Amino acid sequence: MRLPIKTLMLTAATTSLGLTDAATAGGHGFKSKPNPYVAGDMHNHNTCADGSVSAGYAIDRSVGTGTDVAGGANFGLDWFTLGNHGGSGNRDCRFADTSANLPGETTKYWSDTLGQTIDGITVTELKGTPNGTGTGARMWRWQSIQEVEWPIIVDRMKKHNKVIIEGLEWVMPGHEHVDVAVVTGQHPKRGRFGAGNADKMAEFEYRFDRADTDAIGPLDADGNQIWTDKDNVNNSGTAGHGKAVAGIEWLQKNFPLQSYVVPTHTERQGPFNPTSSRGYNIEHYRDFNNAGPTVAFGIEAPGHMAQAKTTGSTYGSGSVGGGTYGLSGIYTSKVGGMWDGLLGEGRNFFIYVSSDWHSRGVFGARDAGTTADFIPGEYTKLYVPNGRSFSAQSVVDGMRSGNSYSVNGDIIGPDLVFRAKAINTPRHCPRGWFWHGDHKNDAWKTMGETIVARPGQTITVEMQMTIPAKNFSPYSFNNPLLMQVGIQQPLDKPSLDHVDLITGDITGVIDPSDPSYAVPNAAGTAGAAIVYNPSAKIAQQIQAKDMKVQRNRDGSTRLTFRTTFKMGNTPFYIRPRGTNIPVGTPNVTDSAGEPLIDTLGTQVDCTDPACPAHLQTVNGVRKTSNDVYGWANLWFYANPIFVRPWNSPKLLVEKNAELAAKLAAKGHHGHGHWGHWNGHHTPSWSWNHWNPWFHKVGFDRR
Amino acid sequence: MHTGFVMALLLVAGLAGATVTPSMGGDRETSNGGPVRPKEHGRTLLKYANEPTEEHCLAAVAALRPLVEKLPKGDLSRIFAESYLNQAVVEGGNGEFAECLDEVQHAADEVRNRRHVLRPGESLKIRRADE
Repeated sequence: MRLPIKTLMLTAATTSLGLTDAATAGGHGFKSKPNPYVAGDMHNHNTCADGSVSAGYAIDRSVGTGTDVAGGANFGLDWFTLGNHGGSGNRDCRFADTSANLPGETTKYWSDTLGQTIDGITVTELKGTPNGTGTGARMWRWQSIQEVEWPIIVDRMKKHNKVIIEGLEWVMPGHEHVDVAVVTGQHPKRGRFGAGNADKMAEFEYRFDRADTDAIGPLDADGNQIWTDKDNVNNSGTAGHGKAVAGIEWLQKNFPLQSYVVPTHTERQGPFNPTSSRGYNIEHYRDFNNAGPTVAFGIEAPGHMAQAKTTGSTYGSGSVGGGTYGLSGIYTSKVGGMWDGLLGEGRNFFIYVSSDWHSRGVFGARDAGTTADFIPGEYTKLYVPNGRSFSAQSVVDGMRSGNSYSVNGDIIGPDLVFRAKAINTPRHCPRGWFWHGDHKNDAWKTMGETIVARPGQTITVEMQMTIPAKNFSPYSFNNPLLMQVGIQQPLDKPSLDHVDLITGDITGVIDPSDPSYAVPNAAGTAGAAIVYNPSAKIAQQIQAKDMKVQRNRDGSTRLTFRTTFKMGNTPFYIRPRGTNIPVGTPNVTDSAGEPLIDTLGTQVDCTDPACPAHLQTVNGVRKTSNDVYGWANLWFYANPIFVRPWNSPKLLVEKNAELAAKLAAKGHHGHGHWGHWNGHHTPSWSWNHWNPWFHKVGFDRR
Repeated sequence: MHTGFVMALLLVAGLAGATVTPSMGGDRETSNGGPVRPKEHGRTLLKYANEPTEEHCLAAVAALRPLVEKLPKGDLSRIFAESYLNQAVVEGGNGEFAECLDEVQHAADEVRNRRHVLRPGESLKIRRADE
């Protein structure tokens, strides 16, 4: 499926590009120039699993613009992956749950609706192994993927003209949950390939989801099983991990460029347990990346960003880290943590963010407040590169490339520039290479790419980002966390205090036979003390006040800085993160600027008369909790740029990008996909030509 | 008996004033093989030795609901606790039984600790379906 060039659906993320043109007739969004990145969400739920709203409503609120017909803001995402749990569900996701408080909507079970045609979809039977009775009769997820959610996606794709993907929150054998999509066959915009299907997504769910214990699956016209030889035994502990790796190998073999495997809320269930299904240790991520070099390339943030309470967040005390830190898990929030450990091997291992939208807790779907989750696009945004024919394949390609970044609360917009290059390139290197003017080596590199430089060379790093004038916060009172340090900043006006440039040495891929391949993990705050890459550090901390500032007419602010690093003899990576929270803010950041555990931040009093009634209280004092805490404690994380000496071996991130390029050249992109992907850059044109600010940077921080 | 189920019943028993006390003292095995964790936030949390089941989920919800319904209608903690119980049932219906018990735990914490209080003259505005 191909779409016309994507247009940015600007809502909160108003930017300096002048993209807030009037909406076009027909309500399909805004007429605007394209942005370099487009925002999406790959992890969210509806009533086919444990969500609170119908599948169609969830899509409408997430990618629609303006106000929903029943009320409530739409959040204008550019792409959306429906990522329900595997297993089975007893509710009909053509209807919202009663608790969503939507007009005319009450909970409907499959037992209520079998045989009825609703929204053009008729479900006549619950297929596969019988699974419950009465209102507890459940539909296996493979069936709801094929027969319910996919037709709804086809309908919504036409309605919104956005990229919508059928994905899965894989209940992984031996482990926690994992975002997966197999986009093969998914081309819902009718064309020469027809409406397409999500059959491969369904097959993966049937074969490998530990909550899907159906032993039958779909049948052919003769009543024979279509998907045979399912392992329905090894679903837990070490054996389950083996089945999980087999699932990744299946994807790598069959859909090496059309699928992704991204573990989510990775710290929540604690460390790996060899006799149960809990979390992960670093060796499991290594196994995944080894088994699926072009499909298992990262992990995701916790989601549930409005669940920070005085007693805990979406992570309890038994999680690794004992809670969330700046609403991220300890694997990614800690400098030197597990993510840095994996980057320290030079792996293509990136981070992403999604909403994990289920419900608004005590509120209904149309209320502005939430005590549980944000709707996709409201708070978390995963940015991937835009493209001339943006498609489901573009989403997968963008994620795989590492050229993506994750944003909470619109602290920055869709036009991040994070790039680096080696300068003072010699005309002749020792082997006689003629480097000067060699565009391959002189070009700017961005997230997920690798700079090759000579020891002693200067690496120039440049960042440009736009701070939107407003985000979707319904609260305009001053940020209680910042009030502690005398800053008056309304919650609905995002701000940036500083950017950390975090570096770590790359010492090479650890072989599975190496004793250091497996590292003991720990539940609780003990897990936060584990250092996986001792060389990782905040190498530079750039205050927003020291950046070049451009005020834009729409109220947004463009911030720019350049800085430099020196190439040594050891490969390394540079990754940025930014926040609105100053270093050393009581209960929120430590003296280095590291985020503290969120159960400290949620102890901060919320004293403004406008602090809403749904916040938790301690001894009668209202605390900065739930959604207010989310809007108060904002971070963004971007994926790294890798740097290595010219005479050093290629990093795994380079080798795996080359593998993807070879696979693409062999035609592994399926029908209807963007066919000119070059293996690493998602856009087929040069980043320098694409970047509208390329020639406008005048600020040099050196 | 499943430790998750034990956990839920202990929570409920504690709320009801019963004297049942689990074994404590860090990570060690319970009688059915599940490690026990120390008290957290005034409640007892146990890891699951095995995967919890639908029966555990439904029993925990059924055990806690009468205590929730003892709170006055319109009481903020009751509204929150009912919301948690609703999500617990939803999780159970989706086969997410561990998540179901987590939601029951949140509801029990709300009933026990009354974590939401309205200021004089204040109300919690939730948009009804007919609004």
